[in-house]
Amino acid sequence: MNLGIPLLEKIPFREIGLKAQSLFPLGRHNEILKRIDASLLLYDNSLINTATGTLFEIVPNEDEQYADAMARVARQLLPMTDGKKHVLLLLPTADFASTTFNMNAMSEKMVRSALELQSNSLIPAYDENLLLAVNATNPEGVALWFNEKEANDLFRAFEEQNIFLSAIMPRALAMLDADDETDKTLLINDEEGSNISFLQVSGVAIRRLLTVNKTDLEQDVFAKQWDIEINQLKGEAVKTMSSLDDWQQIRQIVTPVSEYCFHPAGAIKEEKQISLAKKSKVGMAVTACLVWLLFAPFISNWLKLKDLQAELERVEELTIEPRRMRASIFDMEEEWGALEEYPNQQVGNVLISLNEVLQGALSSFSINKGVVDISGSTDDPAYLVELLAQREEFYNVAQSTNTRGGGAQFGIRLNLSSTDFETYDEKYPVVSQGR
Amino acid sequence: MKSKEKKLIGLAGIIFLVVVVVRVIPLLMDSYDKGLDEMDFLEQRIERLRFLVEEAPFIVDEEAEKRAEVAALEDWVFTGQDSNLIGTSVQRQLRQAVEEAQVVPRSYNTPRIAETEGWILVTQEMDFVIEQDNILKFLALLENSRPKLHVTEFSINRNRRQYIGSIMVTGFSKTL
Repeated sequence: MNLGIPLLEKIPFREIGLKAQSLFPLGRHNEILKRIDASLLLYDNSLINTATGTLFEIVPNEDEQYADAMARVARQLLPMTDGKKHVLLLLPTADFASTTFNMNAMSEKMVRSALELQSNSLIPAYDENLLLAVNATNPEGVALWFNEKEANDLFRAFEEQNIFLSAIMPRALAMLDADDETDKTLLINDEEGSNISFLQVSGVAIRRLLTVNKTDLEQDVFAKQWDIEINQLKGEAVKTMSSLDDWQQIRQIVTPVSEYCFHPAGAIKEEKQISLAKKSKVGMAVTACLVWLLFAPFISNWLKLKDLQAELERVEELTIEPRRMRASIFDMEEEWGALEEYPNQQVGNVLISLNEVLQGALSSFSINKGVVDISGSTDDPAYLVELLAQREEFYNVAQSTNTRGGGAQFGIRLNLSSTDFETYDEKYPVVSQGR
Repeated sequence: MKSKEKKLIGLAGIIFLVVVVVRVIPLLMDSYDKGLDEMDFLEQRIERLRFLVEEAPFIVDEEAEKRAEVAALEDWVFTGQDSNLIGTSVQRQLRQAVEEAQVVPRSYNTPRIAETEGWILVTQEMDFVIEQDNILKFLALLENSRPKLHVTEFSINRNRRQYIGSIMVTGFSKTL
């Protein structure tokens, strides 16, 4: 049975994922850069700890690769006692390939993609894979390239020395003040041995990068062209770094320029792990918030119920005696109700009341469960009915027999207001009747 | 993880969400409503008990009054469990009033016994002749009789200077 799979295949999960990914800003591996706590600069085969100015010369042992020798020297420069260091490695500017670009009306992401696609044609001299670093916020500028294998070799060598190589950056950029947010233009002349690199940097974007070999400048044609090119570059300040001493004077951990940092694959892997851990934390926090939001009303109810139950127990404690008395009253009423509530017809009082109205005209009287029948003789029986009806102790007063003898004889039936045998009989029904 | 596995997990997630929306959330809402009802019930009960706390002094008085009433009512009751003996007691009580009020009895019917929850009711009927001046006295004697005789039916007819009548009285006795 494989019925579900074709349907699943029709759902464009990948496209949906890419769409969602595009909504987020381009990553610059900021997590790795934030963790950098040391910077090492290579100049003329010497590795300098920029924070202290101390340096060691790199002299590879027999069969030792240059990257391994550099890592070994790095280990000497960074004390083990500080734990695993995260290092920014500043390499000679001439070690990086550069290309210029001019791509109007393209987004940063598209510029980067376009450059990566054209890497083979832009730098045909390199057969190996290259890493790209570029500040593509401007439509034109300089893109830097670095050998991916070399970066990974360096990462491996540093890792073997228990040093984390976070990023590799052209050393000339160490001259930039990363905290300076103004777009001032700076000219940096980075000279080492026979190589000269000349950079024009605006803010944190390299506008021009010219590299030349000093031996080439011995020819007049090249020297003249170089002068023309250099003179065209204008800047608000010029920094020339041409000796070991110049680089030793930095005396601080160099702030990485994220746009021109190259990250070895191992560093990116760690970045992903950090990012994943961060996302997991955010996910867990969001989940916890959602669960909290979902259960908050229940928790609130539960707490309120607890409070109410506690309050109920308290007032129940306070009302033990009143409730006992209430129950006692209820029990007494239940026990004695049949006797206490038995309707009292107060026949004597009824007779007195009737006599006040009838004035001796009564010849017969009968009362049975609140119903009174009277008869007698009077000139105006209707008037008698009216008089009796006005009294509060009677209701339903009416003539019960035909009048005889010219209206002298009467019969009247009435009910007592104070008795209700019907209700009593309903409440206390007779359950058995004997002789 | 393979693409198909990811899709299956995604589908399972969607099914889980549907179950949550269709089954779990209604159950939770129902449970929430029940909680509110319970709170409402508790609040009402607490309110009643708080009122009872305020009423406590009056309840003490009420209970004392009720005890006094019951003590008085105990005098109204004919004692004994045998209904024939209770009938005899009722008849004796009636005869006593008849004698004191100078009523002339013409006949006594056999007492009728009825029972309601917790009580035996004995009803005694009598025909009599009475002077007009003794009627109220007779009724007052019955009203104040202890054990008490309740007048259920009473009728009189004037016959010259006398009244011929009948009366039905009821006495109460407690069952065990």
